[in-house]
Amino acid sequence: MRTFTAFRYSEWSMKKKLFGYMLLLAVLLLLALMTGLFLFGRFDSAEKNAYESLDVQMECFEKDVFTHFQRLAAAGLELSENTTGLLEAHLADHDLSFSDLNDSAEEIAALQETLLEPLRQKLLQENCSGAFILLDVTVNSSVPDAAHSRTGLYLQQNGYKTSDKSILLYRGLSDLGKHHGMMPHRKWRLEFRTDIFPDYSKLLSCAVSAPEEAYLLTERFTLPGTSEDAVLMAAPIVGTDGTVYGICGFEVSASYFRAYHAQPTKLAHLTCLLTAGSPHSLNASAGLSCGVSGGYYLEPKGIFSAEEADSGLLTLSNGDTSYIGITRTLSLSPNNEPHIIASMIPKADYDRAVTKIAIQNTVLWALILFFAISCCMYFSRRYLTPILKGLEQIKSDRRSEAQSSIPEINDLFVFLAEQDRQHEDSLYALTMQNQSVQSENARLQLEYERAQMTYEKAQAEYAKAQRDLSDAKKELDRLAYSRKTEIDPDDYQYFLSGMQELTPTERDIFTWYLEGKTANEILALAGIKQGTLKFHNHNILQKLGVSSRKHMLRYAALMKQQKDTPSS
Amino acid sequence: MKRFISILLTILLLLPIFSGCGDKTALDPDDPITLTMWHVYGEQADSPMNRLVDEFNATVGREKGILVTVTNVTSTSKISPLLEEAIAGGPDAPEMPDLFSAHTITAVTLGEEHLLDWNDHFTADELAGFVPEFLADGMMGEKLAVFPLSKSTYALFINGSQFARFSADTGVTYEDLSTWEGFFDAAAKYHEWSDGKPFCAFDYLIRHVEFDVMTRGGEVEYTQDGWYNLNSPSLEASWLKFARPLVQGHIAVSDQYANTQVMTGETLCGIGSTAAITYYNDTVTYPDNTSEPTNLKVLPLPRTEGDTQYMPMTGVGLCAYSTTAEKAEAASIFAHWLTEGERNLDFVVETGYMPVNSDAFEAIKTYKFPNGGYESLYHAIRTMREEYIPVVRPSVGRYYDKLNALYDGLRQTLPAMGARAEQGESLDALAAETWEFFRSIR
Repeated sequence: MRTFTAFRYSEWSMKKKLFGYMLLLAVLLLLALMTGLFLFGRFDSAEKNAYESLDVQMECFEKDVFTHFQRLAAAGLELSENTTGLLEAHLADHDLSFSDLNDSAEEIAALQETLLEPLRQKLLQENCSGAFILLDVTVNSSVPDAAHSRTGLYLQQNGYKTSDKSILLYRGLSDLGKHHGMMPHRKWRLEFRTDIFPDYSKLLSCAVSAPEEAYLLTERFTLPGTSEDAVLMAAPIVGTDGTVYGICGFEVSASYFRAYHAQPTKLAHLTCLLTAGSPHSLNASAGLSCGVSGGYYLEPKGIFSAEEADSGLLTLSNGDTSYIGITRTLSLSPNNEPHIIASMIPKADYDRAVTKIAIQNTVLWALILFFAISCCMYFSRRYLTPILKGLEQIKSDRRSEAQSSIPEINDLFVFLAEQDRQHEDSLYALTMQNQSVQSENARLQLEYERAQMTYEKAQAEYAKAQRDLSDAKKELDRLAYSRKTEIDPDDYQYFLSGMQELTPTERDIFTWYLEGKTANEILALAGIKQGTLKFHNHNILQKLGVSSRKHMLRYAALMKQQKDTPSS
Repeated sequence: MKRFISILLTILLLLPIFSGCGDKTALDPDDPITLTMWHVYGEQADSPMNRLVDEFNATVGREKGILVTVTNVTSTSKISPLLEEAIAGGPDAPEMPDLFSAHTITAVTLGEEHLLDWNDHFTADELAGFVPEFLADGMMGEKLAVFPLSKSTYALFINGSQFARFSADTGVTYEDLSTWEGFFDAAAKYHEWSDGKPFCAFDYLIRHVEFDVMTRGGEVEYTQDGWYNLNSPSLEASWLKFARPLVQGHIAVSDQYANTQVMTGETLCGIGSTAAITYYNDTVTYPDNTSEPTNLKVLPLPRTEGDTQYMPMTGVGLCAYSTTAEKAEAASIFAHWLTEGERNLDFVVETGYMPVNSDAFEAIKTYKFPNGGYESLYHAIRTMREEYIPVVRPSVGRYYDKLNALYDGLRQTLPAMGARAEQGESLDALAAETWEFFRSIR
């Protein structure tokens, strides 16, 4: 009930009402501000921030990847064309057909000698980790599984991430490599294995495509003998007569891709992915990925299923790891299904950002509200203080001298001063009238007092008359009593003189009798025996000249009366 | 109201102070810290270290908030200049990694003030479990700057398939390769049997010359700048011992790594780091594209006539670039995890190294090896560990530059010397010529 009455508006003080209005105004302004921010998209939301950041990263990553692989594709086509030219020139010079190279170690060595330096130059020119030329011939068709063994050159950059730019011979003649300063790779082999070469048949079939479209990006594979994975941007080597001599192209290893495409970003744990699959199911293990410039990289592995999240974002999860990101399709070759590229951050980072922004917004709005309330309190107090002071001055006796910083209050003071002056005039008139009444009242009081005194005098006289009357009656009664109990004056004189002869014990006993004590009480008081009392009684009666104790008490009463009565 | 505001402000001011209370770690699993790493385990090949890093990231790293990212896998010979380039800085310099493999000499060059002291992160009890001489090798004064992860020595790697044919034809056995005399005799026979191929490629020829000097009772003397005292008669005698088969082409200085010459069939065997076993292919491929299983056989280093045999103790350790306390804590957790007994054992066995903690050293005796090559390697290591004295060679100044100059010079001149020897030139004169070339390097 008290709570209810606390909200009864009519009982609110002026200060409370003003504060309430100001607070209401502040809240309405805040609501308008929030609505405006929301409508104009300026409201800070983690989802929106994440989407914008990832979208920017996606733009960069998409552009980088597209440019990179398009350039490699063009370089691959050029390498194919150049290789065809060198090969056909070599065959023409040595009067050989392409198939004559089979089982000819000497011719193959000579051809590799021709192709090695141009290949090295292309490797150094392009942004790649390796370059290769595979020719559809073998040095020894009699060895087991020779059908899958094909000669060629495969060069790899050893230190593309550092200042060490040495080149290794991964496939090809080791002596030839050493002669040109290229050491055999730790997992060197003489020839390629086509049965484990990625998309080998598909690459050969590309030869029927238009020359400018005869290339593809292979699937990711593990470089034999190593733990390094790579993709190849490869093109068939097609002769002027349409003979397919082999394939050539460039290798982009997973490490190279990661180093080359590491993204400069403020997203600390950004991961970008290029892979196959559909936008709803990304096979990260089949793709290439990169992290952030300066270090962070955690390779996404497995198949990530994508589910719609807020603000156009996707939740990408492989059951063990979850990301928040966005995906797009990217066509890198007419002979490949469109690839999927993804720009994503760990879901934990995203959740943390959401929480952080929620806390920031809460704190921000709480601070604004706190500031608004404080301002309401301050300004309402600041505004009302002179008014309340004026009101206090109005209540005071000295309001005629009062001054306020508010003109309206000063006008009120002037008005009230005039009112006061009129009131003072009225008061003076009333005071004068009052004084007149009071003097009349005093005169009447004096007359009353005089009447009272006269009345009291009459009363006194009446009382004196009453007393005289009473005295007369008493005298009359005494005279009547004296006549009834007449005492012989001589006996009485003898009684008085006899009093002087009483012994102290007798006087005490006489006194006790006079006080009305019984014989037994006197026996107890005097501590004597009854015989002794009788002896003293006898002596007292004899000395006082009375015949009985009753006679003695009558004289004693008379004596006492005489003593009590002042001599008149 | 004033009181309320005061209390509110006090709480707000104290909040950051109390929020830090109770934190025992600077790591946050929700915001993992990244440690970049350069190492030398599995360059151009399947890297066991990379697999371990993946395992760490997926387990302890994920739990603690540490992500180790391998940004370079290189070799021991290349990592030192790369690190020096990185720490020197510059526009094209690579960024210094947080963790890296390094020799103690490299650590000295980098400056101990830049390196984490592992003593601050391992207790005395924990360190007591490691082989003392391996720990001592990583000390820089009072600071344990290079933490032992693995140590290697040298061994003789043989193409078992071809050796079987060679042995059947010549009667040479593995036992014959237990001494340098038998080894050189086999090399001569192989040279003849193979129509002029060298029997063995040496990665680090000079170390065997040093051990020969030492076994013969001499002392390897160094100059002030860290190069050899080339006026030493004992050094000359031992050098000439190796130079004679060298100039005849019976043995060779490896092009870079002996294993590449073995896998291309250029030589029958190679002497190099035990860690090279990772790089030996399963098959040997000859220039006509015929191939055969390598059947790798690993033997201890041949012995010099004398009582005391020596073996090198090499191998880089783990260093951490000292930056933040957070990274130091993360590096410590990674190093602890990496050197746990069972894990260290698996790691060193895969990479051909010696384990660094005593328990793992014992456990290796009963270890199930992946193939015969690894089994024979660890048999050879165990034999040398028991019968040879490990030696750490001090290296200062431009030692490796001079050594590379020596090897490069020999690679260039030896083919011609082989031809001259076949034409009948005096072997002693040719050997002396190599000695003079050695002496010319200063």
